[in-house]
Amino acid sequence: MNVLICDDDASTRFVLRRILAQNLGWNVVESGDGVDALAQLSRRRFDLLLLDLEMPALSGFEVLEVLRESESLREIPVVIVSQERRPEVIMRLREQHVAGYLLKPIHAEQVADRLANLRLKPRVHTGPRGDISNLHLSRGAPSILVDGNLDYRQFFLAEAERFGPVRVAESAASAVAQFRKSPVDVVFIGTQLGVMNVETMVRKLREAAGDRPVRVVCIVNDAKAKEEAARLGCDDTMARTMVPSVFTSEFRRFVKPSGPVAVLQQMLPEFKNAAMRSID
Amino acid sequence: MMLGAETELLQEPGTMSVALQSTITIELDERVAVAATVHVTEAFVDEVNGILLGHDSTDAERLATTAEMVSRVVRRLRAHASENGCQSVCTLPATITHGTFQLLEAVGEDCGFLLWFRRRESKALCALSLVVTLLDEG
Repeated sequence: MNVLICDDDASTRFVLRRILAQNLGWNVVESGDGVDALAQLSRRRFDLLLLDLEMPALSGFEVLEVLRESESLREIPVVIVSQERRPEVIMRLREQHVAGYLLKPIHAEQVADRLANLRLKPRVHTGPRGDISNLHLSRGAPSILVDGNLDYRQFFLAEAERFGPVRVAESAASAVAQFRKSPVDVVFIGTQLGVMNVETMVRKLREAAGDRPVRVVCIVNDAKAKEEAARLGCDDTMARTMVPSVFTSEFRRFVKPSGPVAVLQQMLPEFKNAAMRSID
Repeated sequence: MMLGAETELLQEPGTMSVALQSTITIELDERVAVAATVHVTEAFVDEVNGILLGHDSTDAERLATTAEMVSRVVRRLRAHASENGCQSVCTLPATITHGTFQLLEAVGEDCGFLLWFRRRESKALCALSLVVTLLDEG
């Protein structure tokens, strides 16, 4: 779990850091004000925000409002850490769907218990869509394919390596280990992944990637599997096929465009259609 | 509809003898240049002029109409670029006549598109080629 503590009081941050790191084993980052906290949240993935209310420059309320209006950070769990006890304030916070409220002064055991009881799960990091779609396989940027089927791995390798290097893994665990050792921009997930399932694999890839965006592409057989892939946190899907021409047309979406037409298509995907309409 | 002439996209083009062509180059976001060229047969441009002017066209009118066609195409392409947040600048049309008719050349898949059109009624042909180059490659 990655946690951001935002409090202008250094001693509170120190106490909270010790509790979270030592008692719960969480990774902690500190921030002294709301402006810096929002900057940190926009740069890194956090699973929880501990937020003070009374802060200079940008109050905890304002930070909370910004987060709830943000498309990518709307769902981040926020626990308020404050000495504020007025009912109207508590009501206002409830409206902002805070996950919990810790009253100051902080008591180590209470904090650990309360946070552990929240049963928080690491958030799946999808990242800004634009960033993900810019990640491609290229000569200088290898990708990883994980698939338990030897025939498919060999086929994939033969076809895909025309566009760039591909590292193969026989199981999800092996792919995650490879990724940890040497991260790539694009990971293709096939079938027969071994003991580790897709959801766990995607989560572990995101965790290992940290701030670095990674494009996870699920290789699917049908529309139902496509929906399931999105639910499991994959960014994209491609059809599973062993017909070379179909594979190539599917796979090209994940290959860095080269050549003038490819660059134009990346800039203006509908340009050709616009040209057709311009005369017809 | 192009200058009053109803056209349709031709899916399986054959050959075309080009009488005139007019080109405008558009630069998009200072990254790529697209040379848009309208190629017309004499029959096509004469039919368009017949609709517009109501009489047989002179050479000057053929040139003017071909230039106007490419200008219209480029206006629409630039509008499309602008709608998608892409900056564009373009040249003036450069129009030439082919003294002896010239066969329309293919455009390589990696460097552009060639779209064929014909008038619905007479089947007279015109084409639009878009040749793309990367600006940073000169």
